[in-house]
Amino acid sequence: MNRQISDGPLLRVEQLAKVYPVAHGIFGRHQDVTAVDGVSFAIDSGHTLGLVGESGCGKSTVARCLLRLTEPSGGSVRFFGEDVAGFGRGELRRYHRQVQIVFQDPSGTLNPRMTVEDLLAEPLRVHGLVTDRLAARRRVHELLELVGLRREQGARYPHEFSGGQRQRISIARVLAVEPRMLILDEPVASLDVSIAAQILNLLADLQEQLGVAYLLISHDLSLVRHVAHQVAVMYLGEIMELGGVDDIFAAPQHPYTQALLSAVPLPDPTAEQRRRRIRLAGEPPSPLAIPPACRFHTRCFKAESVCSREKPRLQPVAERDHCASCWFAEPLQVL
Amino acid sequence: MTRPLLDVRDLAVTFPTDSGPIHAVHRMSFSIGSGERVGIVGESGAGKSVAALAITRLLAPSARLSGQVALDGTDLLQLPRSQLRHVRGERIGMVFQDPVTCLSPRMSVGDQLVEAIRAHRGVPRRAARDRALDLLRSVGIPDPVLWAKEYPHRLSGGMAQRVMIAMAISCDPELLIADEPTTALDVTIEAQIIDLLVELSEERGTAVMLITHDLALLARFAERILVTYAGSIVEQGTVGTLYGRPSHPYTWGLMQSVTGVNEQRRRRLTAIRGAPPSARAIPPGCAFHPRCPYVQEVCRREVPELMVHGGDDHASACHFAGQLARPEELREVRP
Repeated sequence: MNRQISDGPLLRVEQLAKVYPVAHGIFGRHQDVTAVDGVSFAIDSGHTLGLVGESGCGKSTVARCLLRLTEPSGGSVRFFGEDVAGFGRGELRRYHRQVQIVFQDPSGTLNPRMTVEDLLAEPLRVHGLVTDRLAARRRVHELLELVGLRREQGARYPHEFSGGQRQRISIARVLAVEPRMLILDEPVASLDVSIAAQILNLLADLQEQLGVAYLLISHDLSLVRHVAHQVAVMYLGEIMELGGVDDIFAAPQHPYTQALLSAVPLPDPTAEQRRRRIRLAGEPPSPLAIPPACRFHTRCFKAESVCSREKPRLQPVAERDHCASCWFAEPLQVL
Repeated sequence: MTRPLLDVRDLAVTFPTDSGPIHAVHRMSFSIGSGERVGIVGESGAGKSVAALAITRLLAPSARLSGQVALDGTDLLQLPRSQLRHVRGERIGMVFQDPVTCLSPRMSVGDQLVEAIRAHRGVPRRAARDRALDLLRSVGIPDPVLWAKEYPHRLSGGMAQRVMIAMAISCDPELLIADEPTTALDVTIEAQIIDLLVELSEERGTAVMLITHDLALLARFAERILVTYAGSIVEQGTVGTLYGRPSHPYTWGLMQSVTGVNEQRRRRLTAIRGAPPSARAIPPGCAFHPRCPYVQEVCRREVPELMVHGGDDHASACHFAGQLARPEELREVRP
């Protein structure tokens, strides 16, 4: 199963864009909302890319475009080098088997009228991965144990489980089809901290055992630091900074990343008192009225006149693959 | 010793249901001093919100309350309903997680504030309006004259929460209870709201009780922290003591489950096994015993009392408080 392709990443996204037309008022004056604009990144097998940003920054739209749940307006998504946009029905189906998604609220994805065993056997049957009932059962038991549930629990219905266990079930369900990559959209946001820790450990174990890649979408920077290898920071539909997790957290280059990190509370009162906080002015602008040139200039503490005139490009700022989209990129320790 | 502003003694809340009583709060005792900032942390079902609602007598009439809630010497639980309006809003202000649902969609923000002020203080409309604008300004709303004319649906989450806070402090309460006020907000906005609450308490001398599931948030906000589990307080202490020398195994577990944004990537989390108990079936003895790695025979039998065992009124409800060795990873935390 661990087919490795040495040249090139598992998934490569280039200049991805998504524009939604919105009608305003009764006369339907058309306006465009640019949800995602020129987003590029790559994910390697067995690795995790964390996609962070505040609500409305377009991170979930990126996920929907990757899966072609919504058609991108521009750019490309390549899986094992093949352009996903060119996939026909059958190919898309195979692609969806290899790239699965886990949502925040597991209850919404589990049919309440099916037992856990049926829920796990369904994808096996749909994708023709098992030939008979016995084989299906055996695989279902395997999956339950893989996510830390007991075999006997397979006979129960989703409502009989706690939130954390339901999330385990939905993870087992997506793993049933042996995907190469999981999109984790706020996977622990609705769980209590003690339960979230269990799920995070499970995800780490699964990655180690199965070599599956993760695209982790989250607003929680502490979580992203703990789980991701690479991090992309989004603001109003664009990537502001991209790089290895330690580079991004230890020496963030973009003022937005710096402000974001400085706002995250530290679980340590002494460090909390000592640290420097960067306070951003106001709130993110509406995606209907994206500021020209650098999108962040209206709230940026470093902004100068060039920032409202010319758009910076995402370019390398330090060693390795650390990139930032800022005229005045400079490392600043904020944690 | 001066009398505390709020003194809660043996507060218990039970909801009778057809399938047996639900013990949401068990014998909680704590106090809040004048102008003090106290954080109450716990996972869902820990009883922290129910306790707050019990203090303000906002629970359904079917709820059975016992114990004492003394506000400046007056027991709120004995107060006739007709007197309560002089407490709620006037002496105790409240802020909840979802501000938009607490505001009327049919009145402008300014009118709602004016109404709240006039309901409690018999001031002329014009004076109330001036005060409303002052309040909006003091919670950091730019251009209050303009925003006062807006309706709640036009406000962002952060702005709506500021309006709620303005409303909660409109009668200069001695105590502000904020129940998860930033849970629905982005991290940069969350930081702004927490700063605002600290500022209000420092400038106006308002005591603030902040209820949250996020321990890290309290490192920034609180002077004292109460840790709740299954309807009881399991540990309390000053913020320095609680982070520096936590003594209850649940607090340890909670701290080990949190991923700090300033910590290196890939530390495997020491998760607490199992899940918090349902309020219908609280384990006998110490409620935490089924999940506690240090469990002994006595823990299954006897309920531990919250006992002071260190300086600064550091108290812990564990049979072995002060005798257990703190886990390695927590020992490095500075006092």
